[in-house]
Amino acid sequence: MKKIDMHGHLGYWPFALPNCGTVESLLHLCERYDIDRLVASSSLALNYDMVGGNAEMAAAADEHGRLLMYVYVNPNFLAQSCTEMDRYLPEDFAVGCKIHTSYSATPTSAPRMHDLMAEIARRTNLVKIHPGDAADLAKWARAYPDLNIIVAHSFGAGYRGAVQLALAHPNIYLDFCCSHAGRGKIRDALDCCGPGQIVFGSDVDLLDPAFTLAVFEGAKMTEEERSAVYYDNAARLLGLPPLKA
Amino acid sequence: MAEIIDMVTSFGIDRTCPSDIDLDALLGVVEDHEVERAYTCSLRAVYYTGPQGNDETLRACEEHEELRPVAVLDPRRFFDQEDEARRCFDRGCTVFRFFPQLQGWPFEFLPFVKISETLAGLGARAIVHASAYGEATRVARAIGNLHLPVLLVGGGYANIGELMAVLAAYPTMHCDAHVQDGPFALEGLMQHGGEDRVIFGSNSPEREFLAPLLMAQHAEITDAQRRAYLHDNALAFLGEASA
Repeated sequence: MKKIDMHGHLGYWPFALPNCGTVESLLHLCERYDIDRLVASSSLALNYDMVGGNAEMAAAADEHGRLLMYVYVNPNFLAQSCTEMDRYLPEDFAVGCKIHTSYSATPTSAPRMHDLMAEIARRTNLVKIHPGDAADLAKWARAYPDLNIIVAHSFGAGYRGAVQLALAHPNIYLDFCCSHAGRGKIRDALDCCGPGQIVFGSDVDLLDPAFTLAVFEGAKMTEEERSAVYYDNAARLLGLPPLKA
Repeated sequence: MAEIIDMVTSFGIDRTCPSDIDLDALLGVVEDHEVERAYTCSLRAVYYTGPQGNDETLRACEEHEELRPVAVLDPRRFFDQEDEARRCFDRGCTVFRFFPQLQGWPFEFLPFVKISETLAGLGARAIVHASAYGEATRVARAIGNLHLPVLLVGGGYANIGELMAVLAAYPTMHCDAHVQDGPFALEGLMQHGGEDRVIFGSNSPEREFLAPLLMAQHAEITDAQRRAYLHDNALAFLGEASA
């Protein structure tokens, strides 16, 4: 089944990941796992250089229609982040923003993170955040009802907290990629909050999509659930037609 | 798909949250995926007391031929653990597992080294959890020069480079890949660590069995390497056949 992958990265990581980090490796893995569209942010931007990384990501997304871009924004550089959003979000290939609390050393409770979220909500309806405090995410979901918030990794082994968030807030979406391949977590999430707020994200090419895909496949999903989580929910967020349209 | 030997499973109770990880859950996974053998241990031996838990493991394995026993040893107790190793070995258990993180002891722990020497003398095998930076290195330095085959479990994308180096430097060291979720992880481990040294484990039923299996199915390795990873390397590790 075709998939839209809402969690990817372009660039290198400080781990032994041979043959990874390039546009070619991303496209190779997209082809292998039938990923029709991949929304990615720059690992250069996350790890070191926001402006340089966003430029690399934009160039890749501009050249390859399969790749879409999260504009990486950093609460430590609010004005520069606004400039980045204003530069790229008008482009068709830039579909939202990405925040990373660990790499920016800024918890979701920090005032500067709240300032950044307000600026994001003024400019786009999609943000992906990694990771976050549930209370802050709930506060943002209420404050910005038109902003769709993807909870990257859905708190890993503590995914039930993310499921509760999604139950309470229709604009919270869950992405389950992580190294904790808990058996039964996807089935549990589907049974608790339904398929409408779960998207497929793989963390490619830091991670191999097969790993998260296996966790989804272990849930023995119905065809309706598979269409929703692998494609249609993401398509709705991105303004694309659903799989069977 | 080739036959599968799963070297890393357990069963019991998760004291931190309601979970479906009991013996029936393990048996369900083994049946669903037609696992030839699953090496397993009771979590009672990890969290409570070794002899009771190991007896539970041995009973389960007597009742279910697809399960094979892994006895848990706890170096914190030390004084009776060499006897416990011999007791379990005499009942047919040749694989012993250590849980240093869950039990809070360091890899340089002399009781761990002394018990490992006993296991080497018995001709047994050891499984040791080593997931954080430096842990695989410390295990190798502590017991890597004994005549004791060791399976390092729990390594992920962050320490895969360390595992490659440890496997290359210590012929007794092996690793599993149930947390290896990086692209080309199996390919990298087999190329740089040794294609006979990577062994399938799933950490079922707590973790999703399909995760390492799907990684293996999609890995760009030969069918012979895939069969080795899923089956034959475990036999070699166990001393039953060469890979």
